[in-house]
Amino acid sequence: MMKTPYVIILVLTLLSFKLVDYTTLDKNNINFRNSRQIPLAKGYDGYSLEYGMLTPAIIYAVQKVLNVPFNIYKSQLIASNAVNFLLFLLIYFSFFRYLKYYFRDSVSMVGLMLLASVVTLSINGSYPESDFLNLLFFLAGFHLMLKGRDIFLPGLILIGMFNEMQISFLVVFYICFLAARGKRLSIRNILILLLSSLVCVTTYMAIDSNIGIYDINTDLNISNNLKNPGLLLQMWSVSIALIVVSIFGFRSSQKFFRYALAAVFIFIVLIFILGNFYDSGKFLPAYLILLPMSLNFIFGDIRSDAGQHII
Amino acid sequence: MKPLIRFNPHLKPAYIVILLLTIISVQTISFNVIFPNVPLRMKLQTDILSGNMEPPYQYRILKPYAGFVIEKIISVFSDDSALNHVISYQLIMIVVFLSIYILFYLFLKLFFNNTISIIGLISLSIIIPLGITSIWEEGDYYNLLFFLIGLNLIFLSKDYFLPLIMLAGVINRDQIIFLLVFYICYLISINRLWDKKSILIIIASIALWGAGYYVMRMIFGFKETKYTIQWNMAANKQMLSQIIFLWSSMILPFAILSIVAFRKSPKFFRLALISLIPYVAIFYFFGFLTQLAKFLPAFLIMIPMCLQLVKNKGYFSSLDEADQTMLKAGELT
Repeated sequence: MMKTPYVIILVLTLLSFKLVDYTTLDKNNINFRNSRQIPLAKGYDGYSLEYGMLTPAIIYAVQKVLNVPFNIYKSQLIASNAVNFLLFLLIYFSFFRYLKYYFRDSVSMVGLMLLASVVTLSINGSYPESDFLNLLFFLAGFHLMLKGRDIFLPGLILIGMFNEMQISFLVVFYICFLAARGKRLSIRNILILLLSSLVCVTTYMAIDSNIGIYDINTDLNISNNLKNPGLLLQMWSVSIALIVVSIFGFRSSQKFFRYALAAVFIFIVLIFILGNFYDSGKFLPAYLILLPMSLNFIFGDIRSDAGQHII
Repeated sequence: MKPLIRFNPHLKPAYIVILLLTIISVQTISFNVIFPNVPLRMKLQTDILSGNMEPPYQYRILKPYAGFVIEKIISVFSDDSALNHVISYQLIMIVVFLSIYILFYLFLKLFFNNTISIIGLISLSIIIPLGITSIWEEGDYYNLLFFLIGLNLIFLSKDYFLPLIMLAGVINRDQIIFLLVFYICYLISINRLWDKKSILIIIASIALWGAGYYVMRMIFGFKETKYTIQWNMAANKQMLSQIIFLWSSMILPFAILSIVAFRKSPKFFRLALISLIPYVAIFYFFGFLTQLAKFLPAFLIMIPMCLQLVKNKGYFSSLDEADQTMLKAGELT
């Protein structure tokens, strides 16, 4: 009985990893990745990939482990594909498990497939893997919260910071999670919050002192992001649609999602001010809130009892 | 006064998912097909409409004509020809994908409950990005739409409209003739192949397809194509490793699951799956196997077959509440 979702997860993984290979891993980009990989992995390269050193480092390590007896091009290609395959497998598996906290199996499956659908629109840049790894870290964070293993959150954030600093936003979602419980904060919760925030700040400062953080020019970011409003609107059309559906699903959603939706708006504003609004991969973690809320609206009247104990 | 269209509130999940998928697919096509090289697309359109294009693209006039007509209408409001081009083709894609998803949903609903049909719909939308190989390929989605219209007509016993689909479809892609194979599979499955009406429909379909095929060549001239069978075979051979990789990710999982579901599937799908073997062979001789958008009609057979695997499992077997309500209302049999 449990075989079906895993078959679907495998098929989705195959399709998504192939799509990344198809759209990103062409010869030019592979050469670029090869030339930048070692400096990026070691944090020497202040290129546009900023401080996402974890993804190039993982791919580099896989290359070394696999020790592919081909040229450097094939080596990079095989290692990247292996990493992508594993990444998507883990993402889809953990997203399905995450949805299962709230919905019955078939609705969770619809949500899973909707994620695979929006993933097709989120493949940007030379190292799109970093966005997907970031998504996986967020998913892992949500699982830790829901399973009461939130003690591991600071460790997760520490690792995630070396991929994308966006993972620090997990702290905000954790606050939403705690607030949704409606209980008093325990010392443990406060400690986790403090430790997570401390990890964010110290990792940021450590990277700053070793590599040097580039100056964030918010004015420039905003003017760049507003350069082509028509294009921007089209790029965000799916996200806007999901936000609208989520708003419709607000009432029928669990408390955590209602608070988290407010956090998603802050998340959007931060991307707009601090980053590139045209890089849709950066919005991926928001789907972890928007998709369940949309499912709440879409299937609201036929939601199962599963997850009623979940906040 | 009775409303023209009755909105069934029990189908809310499907309506919303269809809208979401339409937005996703239109965005995918816009960013990967329409936007990347608008000047080249405009040139291709002009070349086709003026009869200066190489075959077989010369004879695929439905898309450029549709685009041209919408461009003319939009030009009343804007002088920017590139913008008009983009908007007109995007508008067409919205209509095409909305129709594709509605019709595929209706087709799936003939066999499955609401949730499984929605899963089938999303499966189709996930495949679409992998089929994108050029900046001038929206015709493949028109083709998919014609196949869907045809399949719905067949299953709703409105098959007498099939010849018209052939006529409209042939000015887009010659491939539409394969719809007749699906029709024959259907007729065999219900033991109606040798009915007078069925034979007449088949003959009329072939006649109108042939008429469309020859009229196009009479208008634009019988041009010699460089894409001969030998040329296509050589190209496919050259891209063999790429083809294996692409097909193993995109086609193989669906093919394996369809084979596993073979026994559980209705007779029509079993026959149609077998018919996909010659379909692939024809594809090998007459096209590039990397251009998977041309293979999309095959998914109209494979996706429902894959869904058969979940249909009778405890996992999805219980009818949705929406379905149960409809059953009570006598809308679903």
